[in-house]
Amino acid sequence: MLSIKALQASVDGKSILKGLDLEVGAGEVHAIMGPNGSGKSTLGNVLAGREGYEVTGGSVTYQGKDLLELEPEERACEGLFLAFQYPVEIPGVNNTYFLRAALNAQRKHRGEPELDSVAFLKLVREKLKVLDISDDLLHRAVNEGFSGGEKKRNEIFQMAVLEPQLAILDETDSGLDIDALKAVAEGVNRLRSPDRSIVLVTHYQRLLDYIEPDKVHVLAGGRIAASGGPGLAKRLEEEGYQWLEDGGIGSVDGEADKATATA
Amino acid sequence: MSALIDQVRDIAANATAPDWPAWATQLRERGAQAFIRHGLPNARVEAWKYTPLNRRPFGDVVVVAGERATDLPEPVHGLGDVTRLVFIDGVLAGVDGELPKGVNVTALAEAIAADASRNGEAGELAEWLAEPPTEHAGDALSALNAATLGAGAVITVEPGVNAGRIALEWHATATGRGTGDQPLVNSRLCVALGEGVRLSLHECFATDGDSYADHNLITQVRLSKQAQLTHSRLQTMPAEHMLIAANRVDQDAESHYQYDGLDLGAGLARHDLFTCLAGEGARCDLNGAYLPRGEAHVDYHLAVEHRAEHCTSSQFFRGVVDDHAKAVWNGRVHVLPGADNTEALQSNANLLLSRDAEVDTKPELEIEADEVVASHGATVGQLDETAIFYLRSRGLDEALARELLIGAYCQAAVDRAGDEAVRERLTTELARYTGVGE
Ligand SMILES: Nc1ncnc2c1ncn2[C@@H]1O[C@H](COP(=O)(O)OP(=O)(O)OP(=O)(O)O)[C@@H](O)[C@H]1O
Ligand SMILES: [Mg+2]
Repeated sequence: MLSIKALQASVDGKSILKGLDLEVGAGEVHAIMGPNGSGKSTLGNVLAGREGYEVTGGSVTYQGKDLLELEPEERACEGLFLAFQYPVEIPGVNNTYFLRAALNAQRKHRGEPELDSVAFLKLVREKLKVLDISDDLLHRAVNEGFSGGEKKRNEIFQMAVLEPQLAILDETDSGLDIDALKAVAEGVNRLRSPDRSIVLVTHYQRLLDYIEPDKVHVLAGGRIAASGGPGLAKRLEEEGYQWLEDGGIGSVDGEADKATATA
Repeated sequence: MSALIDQVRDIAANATAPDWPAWATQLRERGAQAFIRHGLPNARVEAWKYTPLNRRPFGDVVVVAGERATDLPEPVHGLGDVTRLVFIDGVLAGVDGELPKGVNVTALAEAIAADASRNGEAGELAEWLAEPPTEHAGDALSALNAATLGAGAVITVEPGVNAGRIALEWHATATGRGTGDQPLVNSRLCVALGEGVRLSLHECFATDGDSYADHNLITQVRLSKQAQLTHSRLQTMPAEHMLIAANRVDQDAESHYQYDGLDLGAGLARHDLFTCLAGEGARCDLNGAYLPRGEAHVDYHLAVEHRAEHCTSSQFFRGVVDDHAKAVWNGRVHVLPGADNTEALQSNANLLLSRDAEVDTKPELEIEADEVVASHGATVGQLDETAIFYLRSRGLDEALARELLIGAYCQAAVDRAGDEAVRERLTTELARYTGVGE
C-alpha cells in the first residue's frame, strides 16, 4: 500500500525528516508515536502534498505510484486521506456542500457517476447515525466555530463518507471525550478492511485500546527510531521516550512482538 | 469629451418641451451649464480621482420621448412571480404585473408635466429633483443627468402599505454591441415611502442579447417615519459597459434603509450612496460585494450623515479583485453636532488575487457629537493557503478550491441581504460567477 524509503523533508529550510523508512501493507493498521516536534505531522503533510514541505530525498510509493509526483487533490482522488491535527475553519463554505463536492470529485476521478443531493443526503444520514454526530454540524460552515472535539469528529465523518484506501489520522484522538473517542474508534474500525490501510498518529495508548494496531512505530529525530507490536505503545505510555534515547533496544512483549530501535 | 459637451449644449438649447413647467426647463438648463462649464471630472476632482472615466469616450446621449413600449422584454429579475418596472433606455416602458394598492408608479416625464397644470409653480417634485444627489453639490455626472432630465419614474407608496417586493429592470435598445461607442442613458428614480411602509426594490440589468448602453442613474429616496426600504442592486453588465449610479436617501425617524449590492460585471461601475439620517432612531445598513476581473473597475463611495440622535448605520463590504482589476472603497461617516448616541460600524475587507490587481480602501469617520460608538476596519489580504490545501486534500481541484473560498468570502456580504428571495438570487448569481453553481 505505502512504501516510504529514506524520506527526507524540510520546512522553511529546516530539515525535519531525516531518512524515514516505513512500510504499510494493505489491511494493516499502524500507530506512530513520538515526542512533540519529532516530525509526525510533517510526515502527514508531506504525504498529503502540502505546499512548503520540501522533499529533499527518498521516495514514497503508494499503490505502485510515485506519490510525490501527484497534486494534493490527485492523492485524495487516489484514496489518500489525512485527518488534520488542526482541522481548518473555512467560513462561508457549507460543510455538506463541500463534502459532496469532494466526494463527487473523487467519484468522477474513478469514473463513477456523481451523486445527486438526494443520494448524497442518504449516504450522509447513514454515516451520521453510525458515528453519532449531530446533523447540526452539517448545515454549518466547515469547522467554523466547531469545538475541538467537533472538529475531530468532523474529520472522521469526512473519512467515513470518502472511504479512503489509506487514512492517516494525525492525533484525531487528542482532546476527545470518552464518547467521542469511541465514535472515532468506531469510524476507524468500520473502515478497516483487507484492502484499506490506516496510520494513526497518537500520543496515547487509550486510542489503541479501541483500535488494535498491527504495528507501532516511534518517530524521533526525523526517523522511525523503533518499531514493534501493540506492546511498544504500552511501554511508551509507562516509560516515556527517554529509554529510547538512552539506547534501550529490545523485545517488548514477547517473541512475536519485537521492538527494534534503529538509530 | 468635447463631443459630449456639444451634445449637452444641443440638448439644453432644445430643452423647452411644450407641456413642461418652467422649473423643469430651468433644471435642465442649470444642469447643462454646470456640465458645460466643468466637463467630465478629471483626476483633480477629489471625488472622482480614482474613477477612470477617460478610458473610453462616452457615446451619444440618448434622449427618448416617454412613449410606452407595447411589448415588454422578457423578465431578467429571476425572482419568480413579482411585479416589475421595466425601463428601456432609462424610460419607464411599462409596469408588468399588478401593483399593490397604495403603490403609485408614474413615468418621470408625466409627473413633471402633471406639475405644470399647477400654473408652472415649483411644487414638491421640483424641489426634490433640485436636490444634489451626492454628498458633493455640483457633481458633474449628476449635472449631466439633470441636463437630460425626463427619463425615469416616480414611485410613491401611501402610508401603512406593505408593498412587498418589486423588481426594477434596466433594458436597452441599441444593438451591435462592441461595434462603437455605447449610447449613454440618463435616468432618475424618485422613491417616496409613506409612514410605516415596507418595500423591497430589486434593481437589475438586462445583460442578454446584444443590446447595450452605459447608464448614468440617480435614485432619490425619501423615507417617512418607520418606513423600511430594502434596496438591492445586482450588477451583471458586460465588461464593456459603464454604470454610474448615485443614490441619495433621506430618512425620517425610525426609518430603515438597506442597500444590498452585488457587482459581478461592467468595465466601470461607480456607486455613490449618500444617506442622511435626519430623524431620531433611523437606521441604514449598506452592504455589498464586488468581484472585478479583467480590466474592470468598481468604485463605492459611501457617505452617511448622522444628523439626529440614536441613529445606527453600518457599512459592510467584501471585495475580491483579480487580474488587472481595481476596486475603490471610500466609506465616510459624518456624525454632526447633536447626533448623540450614534452607532456607526464600517467594515471593508478585500482579497487581492493578482499582483496587478489593486484595492484602495478608505474608511473615514468624522465625529462632532457625544456618546458615539464607532468602529471601522479595512483590510486587504490574500486567499488562505491553508484553507486551499484543506479543500484540495479532500479532492477538490485547486481552481474549484479557490473559487469556493472566493464565493464564501463574498457570501458574508450577500448573507446580509434583507430580502430572503433576493438573498437567494444574489447567492445563485455569485455561485454562477465564481463557477461553483450546483
Ligand atoms: N512552517 C514551519 N516553519 C518552521 N518550522 C516548522 C514548520 N512546521 C513545522 N516546523 C517544525 O518542524 C518540527 C516538526 O513539527 P511537526 O509538527 O511535524 O511535529 P509533530 O511530531 O507533529 O509534533 P506534535 O506531537 O507536537 O504534533 C517542529 O520542530 C516544528 O517546529
Ligand atoms: Mg503533530
